[in-house]
Amino acid sequence: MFGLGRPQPTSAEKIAAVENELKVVAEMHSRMVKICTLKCIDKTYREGDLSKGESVCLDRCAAKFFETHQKISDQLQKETQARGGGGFGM
Amino acid sequence: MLGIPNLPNKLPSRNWMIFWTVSASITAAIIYDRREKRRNIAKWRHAVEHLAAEPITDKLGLEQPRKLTIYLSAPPGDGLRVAQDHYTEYVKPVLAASGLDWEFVQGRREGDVRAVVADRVRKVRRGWEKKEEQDPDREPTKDELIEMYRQQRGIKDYEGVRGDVVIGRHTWKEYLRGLHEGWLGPLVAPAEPAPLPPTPAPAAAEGSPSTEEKPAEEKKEEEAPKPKRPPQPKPYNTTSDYPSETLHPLTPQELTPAVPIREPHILGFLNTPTRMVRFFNRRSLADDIGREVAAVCLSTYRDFQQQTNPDAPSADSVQYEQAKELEWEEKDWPKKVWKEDEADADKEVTEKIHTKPVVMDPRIAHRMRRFALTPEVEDRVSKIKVPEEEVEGWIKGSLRQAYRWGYDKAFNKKKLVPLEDKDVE
Repeated sequence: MFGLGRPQPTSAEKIAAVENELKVVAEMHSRMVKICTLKCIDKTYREGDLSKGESVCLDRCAAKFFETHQKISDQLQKETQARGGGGFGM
Repeated sequence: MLGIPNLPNKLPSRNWMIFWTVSASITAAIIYDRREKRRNIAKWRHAVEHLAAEPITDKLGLEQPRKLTIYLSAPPGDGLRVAQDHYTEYVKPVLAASGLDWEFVQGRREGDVRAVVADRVRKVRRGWEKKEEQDPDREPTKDELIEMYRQQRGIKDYEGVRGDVVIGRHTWKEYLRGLHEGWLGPLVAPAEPAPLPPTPAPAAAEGSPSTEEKPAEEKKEEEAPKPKRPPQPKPYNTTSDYPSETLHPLTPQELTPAVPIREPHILGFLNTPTRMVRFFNRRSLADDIGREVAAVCLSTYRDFQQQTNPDAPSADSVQYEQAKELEWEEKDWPKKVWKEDEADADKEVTEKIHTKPVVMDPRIAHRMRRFALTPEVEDRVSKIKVPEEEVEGWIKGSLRQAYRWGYDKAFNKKKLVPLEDKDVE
């Protein structure tokens, strides 16, 4: 990962950071779609349109997914800060 | 012989007979009641599930779904958890099957629901006033940000009939009081009386807020390190102010329909027989609650009725149906709720609503509507047959699943599906 004080050119670091973030966002998106489809959408596929119950379920699934993701990231950040950023003890 | 064991040709002893009879009958009563409760809830679920199967009409996401508001509050003498469990067991299954969206208003102390209801009504009224008093320095709240986002994208608010589901007589009383306070009361909070001498004339109304301020402040300082809950906003008017206040001309002729839902709740050791009778009859409770919630989901409503009693004194001459809804629940409240103990009164509670009678203003009472099922729906529902699968318990359910697993394994050749591939790079 990016250590502090490494004498790397800034532009390459920035590009790598943006690429990484894009990967994370894309992965999160695909995971969310997969999970919420599994949970909310009936597999019989009688029609191509989303029904009201399914759309409400998808709203809630997305909201909970983001909230869970947020809470876990916050908690993880707090833990890494508390340990001074060194060594994830597992 | 014939492989049949040599069973004795007699009944068990008298004591054993008593034991088996009593325990078998209690078990049978419990199991029957549970199954019928499940059957009733499943019947009402089937009555509303066609709503969830309707396709959404707009694909761009510019329309909001119908959103119900559910008002929950702690029954007097108990915590909020009881009300939440009651809701989860009886109300939520039918709502979930209907595919509607809902939000909660939960009240922990007496008067929280009133404060929120009144505040929402006042927000609607402020929307009519069109005053541009926004400080640019003030950070917009989360709700305001969402409103701004929706305005930018052109997402319109839901325009049809919403619904209010109020659980329990205590919550219903607070809801009525909040509605009156919101529609009839002032938009701005009345000025706080000076904390020095409490004026003797309207002693109860003004004396208690001023004395409550001081202990509230002390309490806040003591609890400063702990995260403190915001104090309950005080009511903007009193029940005696109703006749003198004017209703805004833009007030809708029909307020959002509401329905009060039973919440039988009784505490006490000596009330155990009553509690046992209620426990063995939860199926009728499930049926009643399912009926009301189905009416909310199907959005059919009627007026509230009034009864004029010419013999009674003029103040009581009109009996409102809203005031009489769920009145019997008050008998179950513990006695300490009714005790007028000013010294021990909860300092956070700004107005006692549960113990006071319901005061209705005719203008608001005539505008309220109640959800009720039409006879056609009742007819249709009575013909619904609930399959055994939804009624059985976990023993029978696991046996059924085990049978199905075995059948599938033996007779149905399953097509193998290739493993899902991960993110293809």
